[in-house]
Amino acid sequence: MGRGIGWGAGLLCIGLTIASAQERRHAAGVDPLMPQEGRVLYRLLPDARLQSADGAVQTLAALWRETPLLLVFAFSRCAGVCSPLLLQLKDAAERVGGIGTEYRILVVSFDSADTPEQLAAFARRSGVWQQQGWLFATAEPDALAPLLQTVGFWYSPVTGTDQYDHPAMVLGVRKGRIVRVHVGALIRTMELRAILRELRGDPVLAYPLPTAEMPFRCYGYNPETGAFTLEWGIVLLLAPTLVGAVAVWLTFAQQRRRAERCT
Amino acid sequence: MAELALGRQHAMAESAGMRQFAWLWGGLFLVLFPLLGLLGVFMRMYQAGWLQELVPDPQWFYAAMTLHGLGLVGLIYAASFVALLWAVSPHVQLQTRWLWISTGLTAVGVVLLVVNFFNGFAPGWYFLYPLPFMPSGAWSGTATDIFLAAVAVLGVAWVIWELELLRAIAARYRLGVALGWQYLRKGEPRPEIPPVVLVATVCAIAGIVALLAAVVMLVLMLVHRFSGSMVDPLVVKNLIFFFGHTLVNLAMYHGIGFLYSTLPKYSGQPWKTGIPLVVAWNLVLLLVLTAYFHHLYMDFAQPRWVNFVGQFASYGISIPAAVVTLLGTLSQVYRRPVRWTLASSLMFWGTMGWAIGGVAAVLDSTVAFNFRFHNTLWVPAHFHTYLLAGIVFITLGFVAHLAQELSGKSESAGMRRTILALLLIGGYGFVLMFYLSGANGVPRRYAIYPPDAELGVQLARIATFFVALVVLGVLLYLVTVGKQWGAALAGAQGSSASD
Ligand code: HEM
Ligand SMILES: [Cu+2]
Repeated sequence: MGRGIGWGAGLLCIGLTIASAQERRHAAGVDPLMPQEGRVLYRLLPDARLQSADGAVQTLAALWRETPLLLVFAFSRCAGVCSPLLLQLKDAAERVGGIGTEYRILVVSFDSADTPEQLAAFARRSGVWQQQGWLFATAEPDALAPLLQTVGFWYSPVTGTDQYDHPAMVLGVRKGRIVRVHVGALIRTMELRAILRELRGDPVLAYPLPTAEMPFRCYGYNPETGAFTLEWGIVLLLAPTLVGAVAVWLTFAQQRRRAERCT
Repeated sequence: MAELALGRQHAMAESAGMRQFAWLWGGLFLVLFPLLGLLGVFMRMYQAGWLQELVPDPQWFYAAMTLHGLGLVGLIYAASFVALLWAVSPHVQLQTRWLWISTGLTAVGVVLLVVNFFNGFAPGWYFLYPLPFMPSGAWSGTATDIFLAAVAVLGVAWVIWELELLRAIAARYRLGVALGWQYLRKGEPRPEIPPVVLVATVCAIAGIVALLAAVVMLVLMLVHRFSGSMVDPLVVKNLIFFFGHTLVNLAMYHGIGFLYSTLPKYSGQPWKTGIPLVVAWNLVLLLVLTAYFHHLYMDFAQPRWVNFVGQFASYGISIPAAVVTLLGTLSQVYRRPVRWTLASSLMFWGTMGWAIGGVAAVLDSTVAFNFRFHNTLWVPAHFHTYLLAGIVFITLGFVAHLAQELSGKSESAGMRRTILALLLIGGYGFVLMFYLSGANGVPRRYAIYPPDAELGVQLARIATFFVALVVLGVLLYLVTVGKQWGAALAGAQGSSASD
């Protein structure tokens, strides 16, 4: 009998495990082609000489020393995800504010065929040409490959077209390190806010702060006066001890009565 | 007369039942401890930066951390409780039926937790509310439901065996007697009680209260689950540590109860109850339920006096009990012809580990230090000292003791020394790296260390080397004790084996 239960439990365990692992794979949609934040987090970007679309030459390090950056890789002829991504970013950035002062968005072409002129046209099409806080640049070819490798970006030509297959990603860069990787063309205002908080080094709240209306409050605290008050929730903290004491007392009383009956 | 004989027969059957029960739990420990420990090895290697390519999603680190923490805390609570039951069973009559029910339910709870690992459930071992309900897509609502079910099942399981222990004690002793109050009066203490009964009583009472706190916490979480709106997180945090801290603390005390009754079998020197012991353990009972406040020093909405209570309760429950236990242990072994086996050595070193980890814990429970060490690796450092090098050593000692007692086999002195050396050097080297990291401000619970904590990576690499020694030691232990374990089954089943 005992053995039967053991086997049953074992099989149940294996079954549940497989089932839920399956569920998780679906839920998370793990795709080997998608960049993984965990793989590149906190990496230092190798430096690269950049030529911006307006002709100026500077290094990547000089840029990130001035302000934190959102780094995006794109190419000017992209008929796919690049433009939607930039439009999303532009939208979200307008709503969140701080662009150009708190941070800048640097769009680097990963296509060595791109020229500054083509990039400028691309920026114009995206509606951000010479907008405050937006930079478009090509990188010198020798420095590009290590840079792409460091951030986990890849691209491959699509045969028969002038297009490249590539992921859409936005990298948060603070002091030259990758602190966030956002994957996908969709970037919501809330997500941009979280990335910017990370860029500033502010704590990122995972859930809303408690409010005064919360049920079962145990203590009240007034930050202005520093005064504490006891609230009704405190009863919940005392309950285990009180109920436990009664349970212990009852157990001993009952056993004593039984013992007295026996003797 | 007939009744008396019946009673004895019943007692014989029960002690055979107890042997099987203990044998099974020993086996469970031998299997689960290494598996859950391996998750720890995985984590340290991840922090050393060696596994990021292989497992790019750090979510697995946090899922591993959660299962490792929850699983080992639960396992060590349960296994040490079994050691305590084994040690008190000659003095009180336990009904193994209830113990088996608890065991079965515990198994269900463990299965649910393991399933949740694959669900990516990762809010850390104390699942700080409201995190389980706000996973930001890292795990599903189903996973949270499974988790709540696991907490419920484990809560019921453990209330049952705590109550059975308390009932068995109450059947033989009055409450005041079980708590040793007769020793505090003038004259000869009557009746005398063995120290393990005193410890078991304190543990059972505190254990029941702690599990009741878990019930209240679970109810609050269910309120959130079904109403969808948040309840006060501070009250839930209080309840989580009320039972989480207390359960871990009790695991230690279970081991000490076992030590009091078993070390004398190796030293030939009785360990008697006396006034210091009674005072220390009654102090534990009085204060153990308030020490958990030391987990809430950083919660500024707690009144300041609560922090003071927490600080002094932390001192009160650890220092007196540690002093009487350490002095007792040293007087058991100092210049005495102790029979040193794997079991007695592990028990001895486990007690020392408890004391060392306890000092580090008392430091951290001091507000002024906590201000610096809170959420650094100092915290895992101190609890791994008294958990791994403390209670786990004692529990490994218990299992070795049981295996030898039931099988009549023993290990060679060379093997004993090798295992001990590996576990001690490996164990202390491993925690030392945690201490060094914590003292240098490396945060806990980071899969990948940020550049400001670069040192954490270096120390994790060194730690992995020491962990390898622990792994080796545990493997040798498994081979050695595993053999005795197989032979012990016959001893556990046979009703004629001597106790
Ligand atoms: C060789 C054995 C072990 C290794 C290598 C190991 C390793 C680790 C590591 C790397 C962490 C994460 C630390 C952090 O960055 O916060 C951790 C956490 C933890 N470990 Fe262990 N550990 C071992 C044994 C144990 C044992 C025996 C226990 C308990 C009996 C235990 C209980 C815990 C707990 C409760 C946590 C905290 C989890 C959390 O923060 O949610 N560990 N361990
Ligand atoms: Cu604690």
